[in-house]
Amino acid sequence: MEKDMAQTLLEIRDLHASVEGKHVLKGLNLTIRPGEVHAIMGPNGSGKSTLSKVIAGHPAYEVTAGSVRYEINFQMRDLLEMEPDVRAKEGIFLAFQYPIEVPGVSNIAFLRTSFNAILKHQGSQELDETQFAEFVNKKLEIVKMDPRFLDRPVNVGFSGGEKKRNEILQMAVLSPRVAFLDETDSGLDIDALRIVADGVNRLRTKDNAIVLVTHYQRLLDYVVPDFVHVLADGRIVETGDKSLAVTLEARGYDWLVK
Amino acid sequence: MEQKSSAAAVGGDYKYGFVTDIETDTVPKGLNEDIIRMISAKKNEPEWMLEYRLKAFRHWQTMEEPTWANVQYPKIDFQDIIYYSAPKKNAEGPKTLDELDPELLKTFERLGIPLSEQKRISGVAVDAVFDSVSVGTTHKDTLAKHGVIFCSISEAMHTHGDLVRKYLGSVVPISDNFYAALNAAVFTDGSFVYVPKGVTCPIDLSTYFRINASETGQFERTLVIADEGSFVNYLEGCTAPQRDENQLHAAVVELIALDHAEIKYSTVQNWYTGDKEGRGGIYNFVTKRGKCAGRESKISWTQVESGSAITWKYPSCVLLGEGSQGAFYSVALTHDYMQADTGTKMIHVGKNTKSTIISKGISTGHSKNSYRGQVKIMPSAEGARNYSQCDSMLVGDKSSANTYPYIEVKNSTAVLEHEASTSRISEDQLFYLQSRGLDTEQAISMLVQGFCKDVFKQLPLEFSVEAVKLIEMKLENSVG
Amino acid sequence: MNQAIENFKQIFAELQAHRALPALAGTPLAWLERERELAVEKWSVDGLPTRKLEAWKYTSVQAISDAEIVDAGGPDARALAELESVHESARMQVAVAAELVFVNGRFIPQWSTLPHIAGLHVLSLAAALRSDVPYVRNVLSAMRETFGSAAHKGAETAFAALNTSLFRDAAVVIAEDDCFVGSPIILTFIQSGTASSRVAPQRMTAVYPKVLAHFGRHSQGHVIENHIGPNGATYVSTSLSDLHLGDSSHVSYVKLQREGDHGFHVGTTRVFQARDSRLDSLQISLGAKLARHDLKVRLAAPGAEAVVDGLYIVRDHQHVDNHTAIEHAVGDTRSDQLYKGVLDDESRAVFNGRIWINQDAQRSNSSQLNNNLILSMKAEIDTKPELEIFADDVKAGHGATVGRLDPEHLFYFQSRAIDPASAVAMLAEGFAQEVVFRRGSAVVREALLPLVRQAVRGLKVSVR
Repeated sequence: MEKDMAQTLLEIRDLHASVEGKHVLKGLNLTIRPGEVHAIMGPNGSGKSTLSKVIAGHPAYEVTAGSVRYEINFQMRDLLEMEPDVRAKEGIFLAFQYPIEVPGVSNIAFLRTSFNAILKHQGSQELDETQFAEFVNKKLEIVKMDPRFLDRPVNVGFSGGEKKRNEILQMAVLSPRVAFLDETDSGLDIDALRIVADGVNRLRTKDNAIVLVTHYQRLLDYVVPDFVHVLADGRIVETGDKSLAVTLEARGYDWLVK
Repeated sequence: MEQKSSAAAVGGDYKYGFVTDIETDTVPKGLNEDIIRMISAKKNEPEWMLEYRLKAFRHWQTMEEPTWANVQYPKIDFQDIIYYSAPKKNAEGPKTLDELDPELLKTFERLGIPLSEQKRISGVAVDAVFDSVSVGTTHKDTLAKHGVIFCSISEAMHTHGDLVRKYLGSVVPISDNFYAALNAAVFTDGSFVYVPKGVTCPIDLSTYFRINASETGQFERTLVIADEGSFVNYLEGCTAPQRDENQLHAAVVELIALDHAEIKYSTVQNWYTGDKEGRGGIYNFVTKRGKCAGRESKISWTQVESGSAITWKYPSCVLLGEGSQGAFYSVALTHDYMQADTGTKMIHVGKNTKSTIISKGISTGHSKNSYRGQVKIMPSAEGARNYSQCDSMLVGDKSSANTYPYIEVKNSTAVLEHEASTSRISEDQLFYLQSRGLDTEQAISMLVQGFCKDVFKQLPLEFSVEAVKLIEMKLENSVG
Repeated sequence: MNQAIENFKQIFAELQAHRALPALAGTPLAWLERERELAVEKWSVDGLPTRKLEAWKYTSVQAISDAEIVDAGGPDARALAELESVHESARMQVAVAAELVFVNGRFIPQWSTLPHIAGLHVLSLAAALRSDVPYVRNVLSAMRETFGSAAHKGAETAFAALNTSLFRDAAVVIAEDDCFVGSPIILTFIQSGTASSRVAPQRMTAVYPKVLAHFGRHSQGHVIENHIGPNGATYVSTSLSDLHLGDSSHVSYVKLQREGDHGFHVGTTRVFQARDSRLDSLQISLGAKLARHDLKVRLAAPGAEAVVDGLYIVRDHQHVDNHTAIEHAVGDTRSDQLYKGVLDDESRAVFNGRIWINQDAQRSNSSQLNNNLILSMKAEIDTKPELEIFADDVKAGHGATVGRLDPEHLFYFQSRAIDPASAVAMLAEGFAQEVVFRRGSAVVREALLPLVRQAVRGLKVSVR
């Protein structure tokens, strides 16, 4: 029992959540272990984005029942009790479907503040500007990003693809333990998709877990998941391996959603 | 007291500048309690109405004429004005519109507002106000079927005294401002509208104001009540003869929208503006205010201000009900020596209230055109939103365009945006249109219409056509 | 008439009796002696403004009107020692071309650095009046035409008039034709308040900081006015700065207000711009219990151009009021304004921007923007961007926005491990520093950025 618990990174049990008075998640169960890649697929409105937002702690989403427990130092802790920034410090990461533009704040200052907040939380020495610049420059290569993007305001004037790459760059810098990638593939052309997918693959380790939230099977050609879950009407209605995604691509969702 | 009005028209381009020769019933010049009692008696008013007037008059005497507007005019002698003038009636009075004095019928026909049963405009019910009194209302039967009350306010005082008493002065109190107090003391007629619960008024309602007599002030009072879930589209038009002296028009309009009700109020104001040298014309000092009393209620003001020597007018909305919405759409065109100081006030009191302001000012000749607007977010107005856009266009270098927005925010959840710009018709735009075969006047008119598009599209179709024609005509005369 | 005006009258009478006002007769500033008398008439007859006046609709100076006004004395050695820490915090981390330090309007030579640049004169009024440099004598005398009351027709506030009547010394900055000054010229005005004012809060010491600046043809320079005072001391500063920009000169002007938390600052800056001159102005208001700035720019000749920016960051019960008036007197002039504000707690900000385009000012171009960021439920903003346009071939636009921090921004920061307080500071800094980045000079930007960073520290967000 003890051992099993230690192997669980994130445990979602009977999760119910609503946003703006609308009941969206209706009893969702999911267990995530280190080294796993999960894909969550489902039709529009099934609750995919809601799940990501609830895990990250968006204040507009209200959890009405159920639990989300997260392993910290070999103990399962109540994730829902934590503020969004505490969750991030503990290694939860959400790559946004629509990354926010933040005028006036430079990308590099944002990244460094974020990175140092995590270092500080871990009791490590924070990096100064020079050290951080050196560190981040190495990460740029993962998403093939031009260093000039670092001095621009966060996401302001970035193309859709550049915003998504910037999210993966943040992931590369922050090295999360559980990363939810919310529709990271949407709006990307094939070259950008490859770059993003390649970045994700390089960030995949035996210790962390990645959850790909997606509408299409396309991304899964590049990032091969261990599990594919179908989310419909706020619950996981089917779980399988990569072949499930292929089936979905061929048959759509209707056969699963009564 | 009787007199025949006989002032001769002074000619010019104003096609409504004629005078109707008609016998009138007037009170002597000047203002005192006796005059007010006389007006009230002529109208056979209930006692409470006389009390209301006297209270207003006593308050008015303690007030000073406002001077903050960006307009200049010689001091008005309020004792040199006739406060009541009505076309003389037979003892019995007309029973139907067809029995009206043929001169009156002819007058309104010339103004494009036929009143007789055969000729009346379908789709719009008209209340025609001539000098101080309402002379008739069309389509009363159709409206009655839906329970909509549309009549002169004098009539409503007798037939629906409880409603008038309850709502009169509830939006614009006696003490509100100098001209509103004056109006409360001496108003002679105006329109009354009540749309019952859940009723969408089947046809548009319209009041047409005509000043005819000389040395007379027009002080009408309009009261529109939209009960829960109802809707009404209300239109207002106005003209006056060309005279050398200035005439005062100080009206008060009050709108009340209860829960989920909507009132759309549109005005095409074409009072006489005075001549090329700035002689004569109407002083249009008007208080218009709507109260969104109910939840999710809506009031919108749309105005095309193309007349009057001086305009002092701020149609406003008090947004009390949660989620209520106010809107103000305005085109103000000034030419020759006209002065306009106009705009709106949006007072946000209720939660999640919204307001929109679109104002377009066009100044030509020696005119002065000012937008003055206030957006006030009270501490209780959580989540309030306002968007304001105030654009001015100058034609010629003798005119001026001023913008005075007052934005006061006392609740920080509010989000406000105000934009304004001043520009002129560019040589490039003109040249482009000319190279496609338009003459200068056509080109300017087209560009001005484009400039005003956002406002015109708020007007009911027939009004919109009239407004475009009016602006075209005014521009033709002022842009050489 | 109220208490303060009575006290000012007594102060003026005593100073005259003791011949304690600068003797100007027979100097190039002889004209200013006559102005002094006219100014007295203005404030002693009109009194201090009340909220009944349109220009003071949102700002009450009742606390000043009711106060017992004491003329601030010159500091002795002990007072200077006590002010050492204030002087230290006033220091800007930047290499300077010159710095003049005044305490209670008196020049403190030992804290000042005089310039060593040919053609640049930065000196106290007393020294300027003794100067025998013809250029200096000529410009001081010529200032009458641009800053004398005839040029302003009594349009000044009572506070500017008080300054004209009661100033004891002034900072004089004169750059001769073609003079180029790369580093900032800093004019620091330290107010002491007095010990007595700390025990009797209704008592206020009054100071009258004054700047006379002239930039000659083709000259260039940066002026930073630096106003500061200790927390807890009650005083009123009525600063008045006059800047003359000669043909084709380029001047960057920063007024930095960091008065103490019980201080009142009611200041005026008047700028006269000649042909093809360029002004780059920034008013930064961080301190004071109540701060009011009137900035008047006259674009008097073709080609004149002004960038007029402002930044206010207020909290607690602070009140800041910025009034700008840009006059496009002739054609082919350009102005561009951006005022930004961050409000927290129960603070209140007022912005009134007036653009006036004269009938002959064809082809003028003018824009004005006021953006406000409100962080708390109880902060209040009143903004009034006005346009008065009398010429048809112009481009003029203005805008104002009031808004709060976007909750999605806050969430994005939090999801990246940044706690809400740090997120607010970063977002507010990002919002505020735009005006600093609009400065052309890297030296000025570097000097100001740390101040902005410090000012946003500790801001909190209480609006959902």
